[in-house]
Amino acid sequence: MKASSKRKLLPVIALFIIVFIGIQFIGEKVDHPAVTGEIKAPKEVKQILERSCYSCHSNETHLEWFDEIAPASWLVQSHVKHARLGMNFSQWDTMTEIEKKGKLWQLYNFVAADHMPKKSYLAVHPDAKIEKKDLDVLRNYVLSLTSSKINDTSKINSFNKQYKELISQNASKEIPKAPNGIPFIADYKNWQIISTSERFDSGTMRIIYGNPAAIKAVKDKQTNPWPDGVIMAKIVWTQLKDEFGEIKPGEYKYIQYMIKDKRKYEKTQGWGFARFDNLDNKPFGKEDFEYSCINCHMVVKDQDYVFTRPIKQ
Amino acid sequence: MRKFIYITSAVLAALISSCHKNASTINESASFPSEFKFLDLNLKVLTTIINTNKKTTAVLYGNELAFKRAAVHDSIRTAGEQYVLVTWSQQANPDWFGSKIPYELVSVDVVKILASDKGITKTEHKRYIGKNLSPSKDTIGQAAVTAYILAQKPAIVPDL
Ligand code: HEC
Ligand code: HEC
Repeated sequence: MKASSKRKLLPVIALFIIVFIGIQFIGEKVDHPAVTGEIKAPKEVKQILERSCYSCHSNETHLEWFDEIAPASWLVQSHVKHARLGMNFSQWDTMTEIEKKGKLWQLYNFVAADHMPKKSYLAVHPDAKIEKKDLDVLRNYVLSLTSSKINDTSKINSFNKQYKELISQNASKEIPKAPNGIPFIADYKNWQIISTSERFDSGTMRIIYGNPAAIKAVKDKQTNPWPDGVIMAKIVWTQLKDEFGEIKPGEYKYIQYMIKDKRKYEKTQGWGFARFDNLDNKPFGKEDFEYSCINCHMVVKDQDYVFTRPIKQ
Repeated sequence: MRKFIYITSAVLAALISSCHKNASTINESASFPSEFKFLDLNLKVLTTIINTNKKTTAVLYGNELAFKRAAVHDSIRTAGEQYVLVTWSQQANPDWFGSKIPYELVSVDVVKILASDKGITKTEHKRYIGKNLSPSKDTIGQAAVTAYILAQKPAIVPDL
């Protein structure tokens, strides 16, 4: 290298160093709020979570020196903030028992799909990698949380109660709307199904419907990505299991919709989400609830964020 | 160096995931043979049934007449009602441990109400079996299947 070009490079390097030092003062630092109600789980399960997940999903974040240097620290800070929002092992008792169970199954599925821990994190924290034997521990743990009672009287009673409600209800009300403005769509009844799902994790069963645009997309094999205009509806019931091993829909729980519009729903990967609970179609969630939907549907980002593999009719 | 890896790998991960080949997502094994023209039957969903012993999942459909009758919770049948029970074997959902989804068609049972008068109902039953839904000539157990299908209650579903 010539001396003159070396001299030209010097100010650039100096500037780089100054900027590098300067940015160290920009951005929030990761805080450590109090641990208010930590997760209770068997020792071997908790060890895995502590080793691989606590850095982001708890208030006990242990950072390495290189995590605290900007610009890497910005990424870490943002990761920790969002990770704690979605799931925080230090504030586990803010959830209901059903929510806790659901989170644990979600957690297992995120790890099994290599979606968590984050790949960028594993690159610098190789000890956080989840080995096959850890995955087995987690799977056996979530499986141990399920139960499926035969002729469960409390489930039968809620079903009977709702059945009476159904027969007595007929007055048409105003169309309910989710916080993001998506309305309850009653027309799903006239759509075709694209799949069913037996959920032994939550003791529920589901039917997934597609609107005519969805059925056309399946016929044309245009399902990855799905075209604009496609709507899917999913209905969820509790399971009623009898002594012959037959499971039928019990109490109706909720309906969920996904509406494809690349532009309108850009912030949630092109899908608009909505959910309505119980027979009175109570809109689910508060403002920004749709991020909790898409966060989980991220697991299937390679199939346009849709879990269901549609059946062609 | 390590923070360099941290950022580079984040960028690389984003790049790699954005150049993924888009594989078909259709559940081919559970799909209907196109000659069967299932959609032409113009059916609506009445309920779904899982059999944990046989490891099957089924959907019971009805034509417009059957669907209307279900909606008013009426127990009187009319000629022309049609009920179709589609049964699939199950497979583990490859994308979600905790879920089972349809694998292959086991059978399609079609029950028609031919006449209904003073509590006496005349029915017709047709059965199609296997992945290809070939018409079944076996008539053993037909009456039981018909009775089973007609005994099903529609699932509770939301409406306005
Ligand atoms: C480097 C930080 C980091 C680590 C380590 C990490 N996660 Fe995450 N996790 C996140 C972030 C950030 C989110 C928010 C959504 C996103 O960006 O994907 C998240 C979201 C989640 C969610 C979804 C929560 C919700 O409903 O929104 C689950 C479940 C999850 N992680 C499980 C795990 C498990 C299990 C581990 C350990 C095996 C783990 N994560 C390790 C950063 C991390
Ligand atoms: C914990 C993970 C998780 C969360 C959170 C979640 N989903 Fe899903 N969703 C699934 C899975 C798994 C399926 C596959 C079908 C099944 O078994 O229920 C699914 C299926 C669906 C479908 C059918 C189309 C498809 O992708 O298969 C719709 C519609 C849907 N979800 C809407 C929503 C809405 C609306 C929300 C937020 C209110 C939401 N989901 C939150 C996991 C999740």
